[in-house]
Amino acid sequence: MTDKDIKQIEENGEMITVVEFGLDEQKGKSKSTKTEPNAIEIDASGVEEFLERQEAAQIHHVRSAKEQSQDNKRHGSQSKRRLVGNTIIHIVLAIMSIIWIAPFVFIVFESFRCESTGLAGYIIPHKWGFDNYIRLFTQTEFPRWFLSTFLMGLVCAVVQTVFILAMSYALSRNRFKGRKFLMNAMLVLGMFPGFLTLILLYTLLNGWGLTGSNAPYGLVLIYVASSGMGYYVCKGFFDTISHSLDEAAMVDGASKFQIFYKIIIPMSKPIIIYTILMGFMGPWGDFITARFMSDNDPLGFNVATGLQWLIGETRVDKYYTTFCAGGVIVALPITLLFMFLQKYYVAGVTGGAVKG
Amino acid sequence: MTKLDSLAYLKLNKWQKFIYKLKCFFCAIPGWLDDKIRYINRFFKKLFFKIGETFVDVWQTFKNGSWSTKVSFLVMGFGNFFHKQWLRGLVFLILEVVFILYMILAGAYWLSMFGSLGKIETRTEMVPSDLLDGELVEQIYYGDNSFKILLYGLLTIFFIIAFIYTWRLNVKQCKICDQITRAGKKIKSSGDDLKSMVDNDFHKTLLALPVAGITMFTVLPIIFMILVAFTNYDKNHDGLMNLFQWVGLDNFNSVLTFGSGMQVAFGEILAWTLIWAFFATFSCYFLGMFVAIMINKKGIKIKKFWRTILVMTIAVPQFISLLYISNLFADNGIVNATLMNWGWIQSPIKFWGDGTLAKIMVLVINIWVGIPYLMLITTGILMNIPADLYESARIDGANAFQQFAKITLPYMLFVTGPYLLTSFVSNINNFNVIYLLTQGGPTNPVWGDVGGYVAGDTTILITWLFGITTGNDANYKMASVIGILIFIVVSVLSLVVFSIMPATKREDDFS
Amino acid sequence: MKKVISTLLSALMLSGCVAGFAACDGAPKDDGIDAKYKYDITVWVGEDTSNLTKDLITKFNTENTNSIYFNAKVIEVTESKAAGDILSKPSSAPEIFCFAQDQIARLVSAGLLAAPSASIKNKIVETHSETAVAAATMGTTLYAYPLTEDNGYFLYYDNRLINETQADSIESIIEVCKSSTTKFSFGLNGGWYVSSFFYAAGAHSEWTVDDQGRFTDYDDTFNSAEGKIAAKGLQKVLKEEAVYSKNGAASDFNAAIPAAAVVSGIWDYNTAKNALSKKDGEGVPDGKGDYLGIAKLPTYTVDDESYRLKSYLGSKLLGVSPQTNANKSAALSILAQYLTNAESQLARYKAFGWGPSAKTAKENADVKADVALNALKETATVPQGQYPANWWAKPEVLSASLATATSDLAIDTALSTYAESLSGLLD
Repeated sequence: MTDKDIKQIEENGEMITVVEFGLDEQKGKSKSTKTEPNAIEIDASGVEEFLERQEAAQIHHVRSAKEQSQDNKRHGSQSKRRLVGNTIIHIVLAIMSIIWIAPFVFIVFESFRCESTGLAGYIIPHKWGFDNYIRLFTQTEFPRWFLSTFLMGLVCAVVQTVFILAMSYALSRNRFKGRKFLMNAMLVLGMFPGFLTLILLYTLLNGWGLTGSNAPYGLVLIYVASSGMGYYVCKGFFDTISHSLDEAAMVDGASKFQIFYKIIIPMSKPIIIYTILMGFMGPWGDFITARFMSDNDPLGFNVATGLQWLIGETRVDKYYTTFCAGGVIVALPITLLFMFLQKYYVAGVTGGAVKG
Repeated sequence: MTKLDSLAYLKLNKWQKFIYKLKCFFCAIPGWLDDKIRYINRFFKKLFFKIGETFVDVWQTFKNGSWSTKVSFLVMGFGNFFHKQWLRGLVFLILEVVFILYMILAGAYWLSMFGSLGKIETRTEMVPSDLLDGELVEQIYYGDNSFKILLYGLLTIFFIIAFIYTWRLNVKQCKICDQITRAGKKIKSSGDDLKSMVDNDFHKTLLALPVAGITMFTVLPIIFMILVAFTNYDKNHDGLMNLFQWVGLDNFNSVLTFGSGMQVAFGEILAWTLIWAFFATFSCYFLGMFVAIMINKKGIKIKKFWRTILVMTIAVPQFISLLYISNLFADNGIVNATLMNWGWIQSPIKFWGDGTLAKIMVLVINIWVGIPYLMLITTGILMNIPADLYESARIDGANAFQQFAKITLPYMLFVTGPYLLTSFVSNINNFNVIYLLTQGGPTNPVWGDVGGYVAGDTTILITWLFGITTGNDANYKMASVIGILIFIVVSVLSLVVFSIMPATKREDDFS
Repeated sequence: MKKVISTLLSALMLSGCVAGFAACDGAPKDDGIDAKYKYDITVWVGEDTSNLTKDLITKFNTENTNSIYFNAKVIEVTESKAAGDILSKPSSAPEIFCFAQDQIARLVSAGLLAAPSASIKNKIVETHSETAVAAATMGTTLYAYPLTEDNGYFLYYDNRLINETQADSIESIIEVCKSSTTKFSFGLNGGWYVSSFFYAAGAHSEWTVDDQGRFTDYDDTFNSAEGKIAAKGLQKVLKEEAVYSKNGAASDFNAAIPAAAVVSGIWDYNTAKNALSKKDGEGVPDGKGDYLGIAKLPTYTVDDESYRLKSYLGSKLLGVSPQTNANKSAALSILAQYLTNAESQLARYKAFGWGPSAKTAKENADVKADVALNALKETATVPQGQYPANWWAKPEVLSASLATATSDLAIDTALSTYAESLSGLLD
């Protein structure tokens, strides 16, 4: 697949996702395993392209006239059937989209409801307005919650990415004593139900003064400290990068750090962006750990705890629509990120899935 | 069972082939287990052998070592200083000083209390207060804190193990230095050490921080919670106001005693947890794959739009969207009202009020949550399937369904095997969906009231656990027993699957 | 690649900046107040009540004669969750906290409540109603400061659908609900509400507790002839389609299938009032509550005999955690007593409609004329004594089994299962 192809697909507005890393892989493969192809060959072409090729193969097939005419008939009926099939699929997709998007749209509607502030038995507001957003920013600590969660997200995105890259590189590129043990141990540790350890983490952080209104700092520490355990996906990706590149660099006298920095990192853009994305998203939805660490102090809340706090038993009637407005605002940055970085997410998740 | 040769196998029909494969799978398990047991056996033998070897080595290093080596046994890093390895020497020395200081100042105390988890009880006394003109007022005198003793005792043990390891490293290095001097070669300088940190030992540099973080914030807490299962830590023994003690296996007995309420509840909840995890994983998996195939089909317009719509559901935090959905389906919620308006139903459907229905609902809504993720993953993988496979299938006259069953599905299963496993595990611990939708309800009349927390038909182990720790009882000891049991179930399950699955064995295939 | 790294770097820098700004934010303020007994404390109060509490503490600081000064951090925690939070991390318990009555036994047995000294105890016993004092007492020791005496439930109804006579019996309420496709919202999935059926029929459940919060004995007649009547009545109600038995909150008046009647308490008064007000063209309520009807709890009928539901009458309490300094302990109890005195309770009544427990406050003309409090007074006739924390789950499970029971025998089984499970609650 050439660069032109990639561009074309990009222009078509389709996802290119794995294309990039597929390319890298092929480069590597062509160097290392020319004689003995792998059991599963990973082809970088997009689905569209391959379907086109199929079509072409069918058309250019050399056949007898009779066969061809029969085939043409079949082809005609086939295309008709395909048309019907596609229409059905379009309808199914449309219905699905409505079901999937509905709760989100409803929440947006709720956030614009002005006539009342509590739960309501209808969806479309009678009186529209920005009251809830105004209330959210002027009468609650939401700006603070949002800012601190945003910063937590940034710190997590940075540190977590560094940790995961370090972990993955070390585990993917080095064969050292205890490596298998380390990997298995981390796999197994991840299965322990997390919040059992809350009380202990609280005691530790409380000792360092990182609870209550300082909870965000403590939370970042918790999120970040164990983030190395999420090396799984990234290591899978590194495994697919050919070792021959390293070897070539090594011959040129590069140190391992230089290989890591100058060869591996530049080739891992999708996975790095994926890791950053995941790291950034982590703190937004946490409402158990964050609440536990905050000691109920609104100054130490993250967005999730804060919004939940808004709909506490007796507050819900006053703040429900405000809560929805908060939800919409929280969803905004993440939606935007996802829209722009979707393809990296796919590449990342797939990298992990492919490799395990 | 008898193993068929390839000819006999080919003679079987499809169904028989499937049965045969299934049989093979299950028959392989005992062998596999046997293998593992032998492996563990070997591992321990090796371990003991190694420990013995270490002692011998240490002794011989001392006997044959130079005087600087001998001093190093007491003053760590002395040998390194002697051989002008300033950096290493300094690190060793500092570690030793820090360790000794820690042990004197705090470690010794925590360690000495570790066996009893505290002796002095907290007490209150009536003390005159000058604020109330000498009236007697309650004043508290804090005694030992079992919780802290357990925590810092454990930490001290960690430090001691780390120190012994460092000491051993120190001895080993002295031995190497001795050997090199004897051979008349040059000893690595501090500069070399620094250089190797970014080169040969680069992985150590990389791993240092992440592993330290994991040890502190994951390993230590988990070991702590495991230890709690052997104490009587609960609301009446919170460690601060009332000490808690070691109680051995009592807690395990009360969960596992056959016929006890706890055992029944545990069994019921475990069963539903596994059913839930299974269906939650596979329903999302297949439906997500299906959706991805639909979107990726040739001739489907605005593919990006469909994907974006689905992906938007990921962006809304679950605690908002699921809460909203839970309200939507309430007895008096919008869904019921609408259905009644349309005349489809006469009386509201109790989506959350009926056990079976609630179970179905959480599964269905979990599909709503899960499909976007699976759709994204599948899309990526579908693009990786070699096109020639389809081409040849096409030439052989396979229809769309056959192509799916013969090419797409096996490929997907092969590639996403590990993903399936991890998602099964994460579904076992899928707190959000259950907690936000039903809080575990509706209350089960038979085993719903065990362990100080009301459990219901949709309660899974993790939400049960949450209730037990945060509910009326704050029953940490039981929670940690259940935590351990979950952990055992999950890890055994996944280790078995993991080692049988082919996908995990090809880590190095790509290079 | 450079882009990624530069993004990372700028992110790091940005977070560094904010860390700095946040650190400034947390610096302790020196208020320059010179008082002999000056303490930094944390106070937990109920939702949306922090402002009033802050005002009261400021007032206390300016008024005080004992040269006490408090630098208080007031945090809002739902009364029903406060005890759980404190018990899960006793080392960071707030100095003063507000909690619901049913939590007191847990707090006392965990040693987290400091009993007030003799003179303050006398003052409390003198000035507060007997029920409220009993609520704050374990055995013979007074452990807490009564904040309200209004934790009970009564009937809110939509007077466009239900008239006063219909509101008097569950059967007629359900009748109205059926004919108007509305709901009768009654939180019968919780032990607190379920008990009303049993007390109505004359059954009771009383527990003896010692001074350390340990339950030593119980006298429970839920599994008796009266109990069976109650169980039958309860079952009949639970099986009605028109009854919505989850939580029971006044917000159900706003639901898609609206409630015609809701059993709830004082805390829901404003919600109910707003929900049942005249609305203008755009649906904005005027908040006057013209359609809101308030009544005592209705009756239920079993075998042609009707029984009037009775609510618990409970209190919200203020607790002081044990201190290592006797003077601080004394100062805190003076503050707690101040926050619960008649004047403060009246302020709370004015702000949120909370029913006072102080005798003089109860005599206040406004309080006496309060519709909701009067309905409560009429119907909440069972002083909510002390129960083991885990007892509440028992009626809940009983209700769940009654909802599925189909025969008389099943009712008997459910009741006897309930009765058998009680002995496990004794300490």
